[in-house]
Order: sequence, then structure tokens, then C-alpha cells
Amino acid sequence: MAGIYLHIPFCKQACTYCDFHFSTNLSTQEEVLALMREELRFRENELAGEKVNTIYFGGGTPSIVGADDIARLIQTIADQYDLSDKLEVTLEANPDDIEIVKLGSWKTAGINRLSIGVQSLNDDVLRWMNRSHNSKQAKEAVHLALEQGFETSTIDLIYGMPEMSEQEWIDTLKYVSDCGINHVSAYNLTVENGTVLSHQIKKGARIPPDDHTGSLHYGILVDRLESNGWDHYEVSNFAKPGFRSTHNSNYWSRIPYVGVGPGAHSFADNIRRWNVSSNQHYLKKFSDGSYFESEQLTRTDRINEIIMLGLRTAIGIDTYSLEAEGFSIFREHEDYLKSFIENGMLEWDETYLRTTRKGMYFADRIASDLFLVS
Amino acid sequence: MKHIRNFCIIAHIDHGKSTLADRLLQETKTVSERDLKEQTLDDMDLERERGITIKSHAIQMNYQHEGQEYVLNLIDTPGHVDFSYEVSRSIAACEGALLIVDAAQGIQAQTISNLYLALDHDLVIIPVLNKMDLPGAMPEEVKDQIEELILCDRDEIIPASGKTGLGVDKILEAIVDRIPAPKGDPNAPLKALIFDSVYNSFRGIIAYFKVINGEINSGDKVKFVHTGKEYLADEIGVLRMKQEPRKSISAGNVGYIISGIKEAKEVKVGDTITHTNDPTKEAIQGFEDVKPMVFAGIYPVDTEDFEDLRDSMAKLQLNDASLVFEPESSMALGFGFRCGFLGMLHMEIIQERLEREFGMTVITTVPNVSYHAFVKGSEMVIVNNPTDLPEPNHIDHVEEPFISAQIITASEYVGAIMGLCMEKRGVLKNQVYLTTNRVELVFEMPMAEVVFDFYDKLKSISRGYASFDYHPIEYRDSHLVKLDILLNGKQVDALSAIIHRDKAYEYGKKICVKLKELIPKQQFEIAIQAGIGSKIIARETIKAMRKDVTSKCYGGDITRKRKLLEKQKAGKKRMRQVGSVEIPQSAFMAVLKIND
Ligand SMILES: Nc1nc2c(ncn2[C@@H]2O[C@H](COP(=O)(O)OP(=O)(O)OP(=O)(O)O)[C@@H](O)[C@H]2O)c(=O)[nH]1
Ligand code: SF4
Ligand SMILES: [Mg+2]
Repeated sequence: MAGIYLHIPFCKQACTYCDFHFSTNLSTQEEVLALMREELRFRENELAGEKVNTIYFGGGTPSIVGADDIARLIQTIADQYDLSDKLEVTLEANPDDIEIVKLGSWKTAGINRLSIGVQSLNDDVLRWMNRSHNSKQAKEAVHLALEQGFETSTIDLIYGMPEMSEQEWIDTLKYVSDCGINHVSAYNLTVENGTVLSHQIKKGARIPPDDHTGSLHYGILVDRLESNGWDHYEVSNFAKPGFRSTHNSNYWSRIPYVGVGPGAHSFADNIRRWNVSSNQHYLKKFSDGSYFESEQLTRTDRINEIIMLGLRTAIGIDTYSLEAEGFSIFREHEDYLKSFIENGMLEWDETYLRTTRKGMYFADRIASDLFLVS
Repeated sequence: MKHIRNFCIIAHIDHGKSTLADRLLQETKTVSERDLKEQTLDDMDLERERGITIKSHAIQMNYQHEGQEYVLNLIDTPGHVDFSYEVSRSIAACEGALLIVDAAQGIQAQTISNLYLALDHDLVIIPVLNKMDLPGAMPEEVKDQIEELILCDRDEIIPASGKTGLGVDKILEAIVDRIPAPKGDPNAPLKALIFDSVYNSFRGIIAYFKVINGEINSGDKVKFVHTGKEYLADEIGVLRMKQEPRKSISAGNVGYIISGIKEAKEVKVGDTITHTNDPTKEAIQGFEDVKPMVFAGIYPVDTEDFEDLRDSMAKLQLNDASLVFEPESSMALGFGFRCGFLGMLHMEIIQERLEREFGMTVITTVPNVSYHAFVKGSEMVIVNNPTDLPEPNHIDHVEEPFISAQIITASEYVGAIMGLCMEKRGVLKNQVYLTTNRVELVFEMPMAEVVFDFYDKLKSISRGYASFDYHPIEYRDSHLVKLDILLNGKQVDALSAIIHRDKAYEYGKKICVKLKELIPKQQFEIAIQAGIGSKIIARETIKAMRKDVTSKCYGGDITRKRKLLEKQKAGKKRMRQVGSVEIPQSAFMAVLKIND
């Protein structure tokens, strides 16, 4: 199995918290998309022998490019790669781009899942985040998408903003739970260097998100969704039974993926690589092959990845895959694991070592405690 | 002997001693233009980087004057108060001193203290008004100050500049004309004073000496009177830019001896070298041992590096005999050493040398002075580590070291400085107007109060217009208590402090607040308490961390996330554990940052 990720590096306007790679200069769109098709063709052998079971258009804002562009990219993939019969094809879409005609053409192009960037249902928050939609548009977009048959879609939410009250967050989650959507990804607002938000905070124009609010909101998120029958299958991901995302799960299971486009990440043959995060450099450097950097994983890297990713998921760490690296996590960390299993942070079922509901709150800390140092 | 002159250069810190020495070396062609750099004699990396002299440096020059060839032995000395013992040793090998005064800054605290050291040894003083090139130079005013201080004629003061070379010829002439040739009997039995020693990894310990009487020859059988040890003088010579071997060195002159000495202990600065066969009758009265003023624990960050640290400290001691240390252990920090330093700068330098020259990473605990605890019905106990203070009910009383502190400042800052010193338990002993605008204040105060947060405060309240010098006077009874820090009820021994009772509350409160800042949240609540005996006087709480997992959208960027966690792991490895609480290294120095 394998995945393909396509990074569409264009946005209408910049959200204040965002540190993904994107450009608001849309003039190079055609060139970049053409080159992405080229890159897809060029890298086909990286997934030789693998069946592709997920294609994901991320960004940036894939919903602002023409549906025909999307169709052409999918066609290129279909021509070059071996596709699985059960194929998930996701497109990230901003609510203000979702309308009935577009939905139809996406469907025709082969998209069967949308990832809708709702982020918040608080209009003040949406405004200071500089999102291009309001809460009303967001709800309408979700409704429309479901109505048009995109019932496997997901929505993205952000929490941890000091100005969002507990009640507001509870109300948001109630809406999410009841609206008919079957998948949610919810992320804690973080302040990344170089973003407009970090600048505003430095100047004192915005209150920085604090730990307390973040963990409070996270607690509410987990409680509300789980008690409504959602499956909390990764730190930030929730699905109604049967609706887990193939694409996200592939990342955590260390299944190979080819990422094309500026800023896209790839993983195959024990190598992680990332394309330059600049549309201009991507265009200029593609021809001489210097448009990406890469890292060959060492044994330590692999072990640490397995630990880090496994602890974030409901499945847990596959201890056999660690044994396959000649690493016995129980021999290495006997006392630690014993005490964490005893105090209810971890559980083990002979194959998988996983965080409990309580332990998932500390997945990073436990991961770094269990890391191997080279 | 008539044609030898031995002199040192003394001054307040940064007044330009080493730069002026450059000019003398240049003028006498002791150093080739190619080898000359700024502060040529400051040859340690740390000296060069920090731009200060840490160790005295001796060098010999030749100088022609009125048709005569003279040998000039120069010793450049450090200005910082921590290293004043270096100045006193150097002075003992000289007949004269260049007293350098910065023409823009005037007389400062170490100008006076170093001058007195020189006068105590009856040295001839040549006053030099340096940095005349500076636009802010105030030659007339500073000449007034000098005249008043050393009671000399105004025209004895030589205006000079280490930058432009102004006055260098006059200084060389004055050295020959004003400083007397050494007195001594070249025919008497050998008597030479060891005034310094250095360690060379290839050649072992090299001792620097000045011959008072007699003559020493290469190959002689010699004896170090104080240690009683006998050696063969494998190599003797003079100190030029490089050491230059000589057949013999006779009365009045300065040289070095290499005699296969491996152990630093065998060479006591201040000892007398004489011949085994024909020994001198009266040995030179040696120097007092340098006494460390502040103590702190030094621990390896990685507990497995203890033996490496021991080796490194021992090697460092060969270079720096003023460093003292003995092993100790701490519940919080494991095995390490309690070290004695000459002052805070010295402590900083030792720590830096350990890290740079020996590749050690260490945790240094909060420094303290040495206390005398008088136990009821028993003898006095020296307490160099707060945890060694006996139980309160066994103690009759505790004494702490007091210093006499001289502060020279401009009159407008007198009020603020008095306030500061009084807050630091100081008592004003004297106040002298050196000129209408310059005041010398003398306080007696506990040394412990100078260790923390004194220099910085002094500097800021005087806008840098205050210089400070001190010397220890005596131990005095003080109302001192031991303040302990507890984390979730477990005492952190390395954070205990001995403190005056009246200050304990404020201090306890502040340190708890600081620790709250420095100790990261953990999965459980952490109570930070400060207590005296069983009484808790301050408390802060670090709330439990509710979550430690990033739920950020990182797409397929696994590498970045893994590296972040690896970094966290590395950081955690450097933490120490007390009970279940993890403490970062920075917390052990928290007290030093208590007012930030
Ligand atoms: N303008 C000017 N600057 C000088 C002169 N002499 C020294 N300096 C500067 O003053 C600073 C201190 O000079 P040093 O020669 O290191 O002073 P020092 O007295 O040896 O200092 P310590 O050994 O640390 O006590 C340096 O930045 C020199 O460049 C001078 O005659 N004129
Ligand atoms: S959050 Fe999405 S829409 Fe907003 S700037 Fe970033 S990539 Fe573009
Ligand atoms: Mg100097």
C-alpha cells in the first residue's frame, strides 16, 4: 500500500497562524501545476510494486484551483501508478469555495472525500485568523457537501484560543457531532515563528494561547466526542465507526508516500525527503534535481519514529516492528513501562503497546522518554 | 647587578597595563613586529577572549641607555580584585612599580589597594598617566589625584598612551633612573625567591625565581627550603618571549628553573631556593597561603563523568594553584567537588576552563562563603557547604567572614551606594573626599553579601562610576540560619543556603518564585517550599501539566517532529531527579538570578 500527496501551494489570503507553505501570488499556478504532473511522472518508480490506496490534495488551498486541474492531476496518477480498488481521494476545501457546481466537477474528477477547513464557528476568531469565510458559510458548506454525497468528508477545527469560552467549544462540538459529518481533525492553536500571529503576540496585540486553555479544550474535545460514539483513533483525529482516514493512518503506520509540489514531504525506501518550500525555487530547481532535501533514516531514527507515531494512535506501537529492528522495548525500559502500565498511562496486549485514554495526553513526553539516543 | 632593573606594572583593572607593556616590548625590540599583537603577554585563550589579565606575566627586556646596556625584568599583573594575590607575589620580586592611572577614569579602588601593596614592599613608584589620547582624558584633574595619593611631584608623573606610544621613552628612562638596582650579595650562598610557577604539559612545573644573593648554575644541586625537597637544576634560563636557557643567573636577576617537578604541590610560591651544599642561613619569609573566599559545588552533568572531572580538576590545579577542591556528594547531584575560589570571577573562569580546555559539562551550585560554626561544648567546625551546618540546637553561635570594602565614586552617587551597602548589612567606617567630587567610602560588611548581586547593583546605581575593592578582615558572630528548599517534601540539599535571619523570609519567598519559573511542569503538582528547620516560611506550587502532546497538524513532516522530541530527550537527560521531581540545571544557580 502507498499514498500520494499533492501540495497545492496557493491561497487567496494568509491566515495569521499558518506556517504551511503557500503563496498568494497565483500567477505561477499553471506552471506549478504542470510541473507537479511532471514530478508525478518522474517519480513513478518510487512506488513500484505498491498499490496506491490514498490520494490527498493538501495545501495551501486546493479548492481554489480549477476542478479541471485537479482532474488532470488525478488522471496523471491513474496513468502512472497502480491504484487500489478501494481508493480514498481527499481534497482540502475552504468553506467559501464549496458550491454545488464545483462539488459536481470534483466528484467527476474522482474526489470522494473533502477536508473542510471550518477551523472555528466563532466569527470573531475567524476574523482575526483572517480566514476567508464566516461561521454561517462554514455550516452551509458542510451541509452542502454532505447533501451532495461527500459523506466520508472531514472537518478541521482549531481550539485553544484564549478568547473561545468553554461553552462555545462545547457548542461547536455538539454541532459537529450532530451535523452528519463522520470525521474530525482538531488541532491546538500553536504560535509558529515567522507567522503574523507570532508577530502580533510579540507586539502585545494578541493574547498568546496558554497551556491551561489548550488542555482544557482538549479535555472537552475528547470527552464530548468519545461520549457521542466517536472513535478517538489518533491524538488529533476522531471518526465515527468505519470512517477512519486512510491517508492519515498511512502516515502513522509508516506506509510509503510520494509527495509532489513545493513543500511536500515523501517517505519511501527508508528515506524521508521534502521539496523546497518555495514556488519559485521549485520551478527553477526542478530541472537539475536540486529541488528537494532528504534524510536516510538510521536504525535509531526508525525506532524513534515507530515509538513516536505509535503512541499517538489508538492502535499503539507494534512491538514486533521494534523487535524486527533488534530492539526490545521491554528490555530497554522495563521499570519505566511497568510503572506507566501500573499507573494507567500505558497498556499492552502482547503485540501492541499503546497509550490509554489518560496516557494519550502525555504521548509526546512518553515518546521522548522511550526514545533511543544515538 | 648595577644594570638590572626589576619592576612590575600595577593598576586598576583595564587601565592599560598590558597594552603599555606591549609598547615597552616593542620599543626594546623584545618582540618582533610580527609576533606583536594586542596585549601580547596575555597568552591564555581566556585572557585574550575576555580582554583581561588573569595571571602575572614576567618577561625580560634589554635596553640601551646613555651608552649602557640594561636588563629590565618586567612583570605585568592583573587588575581584578580576585587576583590581587598575583600582584603581591610579583611585587616581592621587584624594586619598582609603574603605577598606571587611566587619564579618563582617574584613581580607582584597585589603584589604591595595589599602590599600598607596593609601598608595603618599599617599591619605588613611577606614576604613569595613561590613555592620554582619549578625548575624555582629564590630565590636570587626575594629576591632582595622583599627587595627593602618592605625595609626589607633579612633574614625576609621566603622561603616556599605550595606543599612540606617547611617553614610552620617558618611562624606560625613568625605570633606569628612578628604580634602584637590586641589592644583594653575589658572593653569598644562593638565596632565590620563587615568585610564580607555571605548568607545561611537556616540561612539568616551571618555577620563576628572583636571585637575591649568590648565583645559580645549570646542573647545580638545589634545595627548596620550605618543602625540603632537593633537585638537580636541569635547566635554568631567562624569560624572554620564549624561555631562553642560560648557564647561570646571578644576584638581582630573574629566571626560571626546570628540575623535573611533576607535582604542583612541590613548588610553593614564596619558597626559597638555595644550594644543597652551601645553603643560605636565612630563608625568605614566604607568602601567606591564598585563601579561597567563595565555595561552590561543581558536579558533572553526566554522573558517569565524575572520574574525568577529577582528572580535569587536578590538571587545572597544576595551572592554577589557587584552586582548591575536595570531593563531596549531594543527594540531588551525585558525586562532585566542593571547590574554593578567590572570588566570583575566578569561579566563572574555572568553570569556563573546565568546559573549554577539558570538554567537561558541569553544574555549579550556588556559591557561599566559609562559615565557622561553634558547637556547644565542643570545638569550631568550618562549614564550606551549607548542608554541613550542624543542627541548630547544637550550635552555640555561627561566625561569618567580614571584609573591609573600599568604594570610590563620584559624590552624587554616595547616597545610593550607602543605601545599597546598608541593605547588605554594611557599616560605614570612613568617608574621604579625594577631590571635591570624588569620594572614597569604606565599609565593613559580610563577604556573603558581596557574593550575590552586589557588583551588578553597584554598577547600575552608580551608572558604572564606582570602583570596588575589598580585603578580608575577621570572622564575626552573626545571626545566621540554614534555609532549606523542599520539593514535594523532599529536601534538595544542593539548594540549601546559610543566610541572615532577617533576610530569610524575603529570600525564601524569592527563591521559591524563581524555582517555580525554572522547574518545568510535570504530570503531578509540585510543591516548592522554603523552610528553616521544620518551619516552612514560603511556598509556591507548580500546577500539574495536564497534557504533553502536540496536536498540531504536521502533515507528513515526521522528521521535524522526531527531532523536536529528540531534543527534549537530550534536555531531560541533563536534568536531576529529587524524589520524583525533575530539576533542570539552571535551577541550581537560581539564587544568582533571584532578582531578575
Ligand atoms: N584609548 C586608549 N585605550 C587604551 C590605552 N591602553 C589600553 N587601552 C584599552 O583599554 C582596554 C584595557 O587595556 P589592557 O591593556 O588590557 O588593560 P589592563 O590594565 O592590562 O587590564 P587588566 O589586566 O584586565 O587589569 C583595552 O581595550 C585597550 O585597548 C590607551 O593608551 N589609549
Ligand atoms: S491555513 Fe490553509 S488557507 Fe490559511 S493560509 Fe494556511 S494553507 Fe492557506
Ligand atoms: Mg592586563
